[in-house]
Amino acid sequence: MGKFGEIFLGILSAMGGFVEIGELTFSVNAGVRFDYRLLWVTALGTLGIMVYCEMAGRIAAVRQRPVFSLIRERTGYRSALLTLIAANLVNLLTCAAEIGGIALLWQLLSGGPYRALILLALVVFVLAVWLLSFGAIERVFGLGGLLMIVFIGAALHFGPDWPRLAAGLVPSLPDGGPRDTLLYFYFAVALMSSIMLPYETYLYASGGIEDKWTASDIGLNRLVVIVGFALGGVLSAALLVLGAEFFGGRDIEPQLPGTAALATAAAYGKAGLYAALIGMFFAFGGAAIETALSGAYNLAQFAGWPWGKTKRPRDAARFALAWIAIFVLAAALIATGIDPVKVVEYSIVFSVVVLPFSYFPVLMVARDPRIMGKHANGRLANGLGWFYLVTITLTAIAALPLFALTHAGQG
Amino acid sequence: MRDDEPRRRKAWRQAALLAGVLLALAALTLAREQQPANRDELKIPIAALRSQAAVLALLLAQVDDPLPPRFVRAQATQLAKAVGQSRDELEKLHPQPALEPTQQRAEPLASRLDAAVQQLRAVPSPPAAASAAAARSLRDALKALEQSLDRPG
Repeated sequence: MGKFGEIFLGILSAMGGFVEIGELTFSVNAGVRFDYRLLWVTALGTLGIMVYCEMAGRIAAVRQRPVFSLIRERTGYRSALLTLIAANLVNLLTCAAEIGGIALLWQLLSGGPYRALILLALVVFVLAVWLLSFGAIERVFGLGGLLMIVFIGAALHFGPDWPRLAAGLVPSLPDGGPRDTLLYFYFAVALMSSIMLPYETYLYASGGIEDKWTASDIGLNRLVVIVGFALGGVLSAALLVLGAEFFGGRDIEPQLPGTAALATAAAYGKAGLYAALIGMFFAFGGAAIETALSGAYNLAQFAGWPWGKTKRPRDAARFALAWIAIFVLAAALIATGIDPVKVVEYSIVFSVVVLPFSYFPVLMVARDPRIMGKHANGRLANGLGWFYLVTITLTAIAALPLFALTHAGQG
Repeated sequence: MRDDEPRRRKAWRQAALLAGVLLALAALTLAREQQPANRDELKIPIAALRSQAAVLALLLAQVDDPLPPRFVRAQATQLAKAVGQSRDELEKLHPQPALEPTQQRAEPLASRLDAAVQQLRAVPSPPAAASAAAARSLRDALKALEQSLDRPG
């Protein structure tokens, strides 16, 4: 396959899994509650994930070093161990929410019982990761996830108010009292976190190493990150627009994946409904696989075990056991009957706290010319890197108090 | 590597501090649970029910065209679970005395919503126009209650 094919696949892989159940819920509800006023957070978060994935991918290409190996080296054993526990807890919760979301989607398509569909999802994902190569997973879930574009079509169908949309790119406080302001900040933090979820960076860097990137792939890395995440950002913005234009006027705050699909059904009939349901399956499925693999990568890289999807399971047995264990634990957790959207809300707010610990070592290595040579950060990457590190640190400090004060964003 | 004495003492202090913070948080949460629910807390299940009534109205407006019966039945099953949870949450609340009438007005609306969703679950092609109008009227009644909680007094 030529370079063009690689770029195409890379873009698809960046797109697949970018919009998972948490981002879907927060983006649509941000639009319902605050119209276009939180669009700036979508833009800010998308640029942030581009900045840090680009750095992580560049480190992977130049030094073949994954993120968790850097975390352990740069922050020491104890701090890295705490980050590992927190990051893998977030991975587990997110994976559980995605599996629950998939069972809800399959229930809408088949009418089958929810718990049996959770078990089926577990079997399907374990088999998919066991049998498919890394590239095949990227192709299947990336291509399928592109069906989510139907939400962009629906947002255009219901006609975004372009001047209001442009105004939403500039931060502005909502009308209303202090409670509305608190809720606005809670949604800003949650939206930022759902876009910058750390597993995307862990997986992206590990995937670069799996794909045997070298320094000659730095340009490809940049292109994949910019185009792939920009597409994801546009999709996220479209969901916010749908929230403002379609659901807001109908007094609906969607909490179920099927409710989000009612907008595409209203725009495009049955075809819109099925495109949304199948697109969400691939997007949530991509995220479930990414979180399970990311958890296994983190653990193996921290502990120094052999790791990689390209290795046979017997040659990286503990790595294979780790991702299987994450799938099983996630399915067991969601089979207890806990609401997937509630799980993802907790995981997203909790993940904000992990973000600074995950991104600080990446910035330290990417800016160091002794390690990265001529591929170290330039002024722009350093400036953006520090800006986002300060931003996510402030976000992490604010996350838990906002969560408590707003009753987990309910009011 | 063996920990030396000062490091061990420091670790114990940190553990004690963490345990203290967790205990304080647990005590605060418990104390808060004992307080009667305020306007914002009562508004949460009412707002959820209002949103669920609006989803029901939208579902009913799209029954048959374009939504297939299997989808409607499954979506109604999922909605019924959510309505049940919101209804339980509303009924379990012990609001401040001044807010009790609002809770009492919301409870029958929640029951009616529950019944309407269960009916859609059983018969996914009801006479849509009349049902959608009934769901919209439930939504409006819940919204009026929700808005009444915005105003003090």
